Amino acid sequence: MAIQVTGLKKSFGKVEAVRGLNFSVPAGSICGFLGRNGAGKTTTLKMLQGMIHPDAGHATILGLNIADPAQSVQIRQRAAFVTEEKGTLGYLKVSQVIKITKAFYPNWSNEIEAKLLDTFEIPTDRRVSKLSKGGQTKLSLLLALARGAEMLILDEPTEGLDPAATEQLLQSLVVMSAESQTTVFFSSHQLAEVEQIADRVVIIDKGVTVVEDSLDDLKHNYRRVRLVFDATAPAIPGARIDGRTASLLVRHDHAIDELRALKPASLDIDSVSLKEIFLDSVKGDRS
Amino acid sequence: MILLYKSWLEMRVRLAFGLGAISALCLVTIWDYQKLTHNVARDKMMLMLLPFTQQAIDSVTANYSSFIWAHWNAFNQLLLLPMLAMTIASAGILPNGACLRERGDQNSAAAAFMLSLPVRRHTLLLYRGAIGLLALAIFAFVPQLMIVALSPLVSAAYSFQDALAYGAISFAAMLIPYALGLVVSSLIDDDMTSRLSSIFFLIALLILERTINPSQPFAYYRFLSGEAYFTTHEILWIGMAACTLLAAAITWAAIQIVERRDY
Repeated sequence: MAIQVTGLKKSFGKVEAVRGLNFSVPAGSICGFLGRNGAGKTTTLKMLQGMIHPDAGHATILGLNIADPAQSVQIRQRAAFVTEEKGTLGYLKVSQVIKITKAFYPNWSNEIEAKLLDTFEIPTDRRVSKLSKGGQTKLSLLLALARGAEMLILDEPTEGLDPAATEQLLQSLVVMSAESQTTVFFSSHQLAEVEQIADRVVIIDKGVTVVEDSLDDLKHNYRRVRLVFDATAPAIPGARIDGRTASLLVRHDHAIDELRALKPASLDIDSVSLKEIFLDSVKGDRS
Repeated sequence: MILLYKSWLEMRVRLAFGLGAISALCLVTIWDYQKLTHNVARDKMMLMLLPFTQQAIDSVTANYSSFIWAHWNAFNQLLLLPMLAMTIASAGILPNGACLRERGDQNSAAAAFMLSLPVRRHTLLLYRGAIGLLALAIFAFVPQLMIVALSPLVSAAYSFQDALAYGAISFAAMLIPYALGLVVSSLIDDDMTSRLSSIFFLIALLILERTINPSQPFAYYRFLSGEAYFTTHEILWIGMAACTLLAAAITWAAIQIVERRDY
């Protein structure tokens, strides 16, 4: 496994940000990390990077322990992180930030650097703080993608990017994953983007994992079932009732069998989007 | 080397600002000697407002060295050098803002970026501290050497040996506000807040030292001014050692804070 997280916990005062998180990410996969605002995504990513010390639990990246300072350095040598704060060193010029960053990475790709500078149209002689928010995001991504990392851990990588740049980034991630088996673990609120490139998803809510599966399996297991009854639809837990019609999301085939037992006049089964799965996963009260 | 280069890039604005302020005040000090006749009585009255011993005040005479001590060492540099030391430190040992005023969010972005690099936190601090010490040495010795170089312009001479001695004393004394600045900025991300807290502390300490009996065996501002060297012509080695050890202990505390802190 590229990432293995077991029972990870972190509190800030009385606020439990992460409450025993468990998930794993296979090497070479593209894994979307989803959750509502405040679910604990950024805290988790910062713990993986070594910016925040976990209170309890254990996590490894590329087999290295995140809590061990020496191993954490090795993690940052082999994995690239882009955090939610993408301003890097705002008081320096773009060229200076690139010069500083590339000095740490022997596998730095000048080819990717030049390509992304051109594609993202980043002016190298401008101060980072003078770049637009999107420009700062693009620079952060350039610094992450060009360092030849085995793994990319990205927090909201498309935040502030225009649609064209977003598409270029997503394609770059897919190509890197396919060509060099780079593992990509990224958080996003843009479910369509996750659905476009991810082969796995981890959904967390209130600091715990609620879904962890391959996207194909998720979509295979989840079904939208629409039942029409001869009379008013009976009360079905989790279903939206509208006169004779009931509509609900089910996870397993045996649930569909249970619905058939209600003897509806008709029963239609449709595939669902990641958005529907996400909303269904985070609607419960886990406090 | 790249971390030294980065530290230099972020230090240079503050260094230039400090050197500019020091040079201007140095020129004013020497110009004053030419413009005004050396009024010993006035200088003694000025020194009585500050935390100096009567012995030091009585030692002020009509010679040029005495004028320089009273005007530069005991007055102009007294708050300036510790404030510059804290300004150098106030960017934080990790966030490292380079401008005179950095926003907290820019500092946190810089911290996030630095912590994404494959370097231990204490290594970042080591390089940052080394460049900071270089800046302190410049602030301590440049004004003294300027006085040596510019004194002939007012038909006076200033001892090179005295310049080195006062420079060394100032350097040792600046280590304490520098280390304190590191601690404050390791706790507070916003530069302006950490700088204002530091300045408040320095002024409070000055008032405290003036209020308490100035014949105490060791007082910070008296040491910084080189009072002992002025009166006895001997370097207060115990004061130098005390400043160095205290600063080392405070810096160690700052390192522990940064190592344990969540960003």
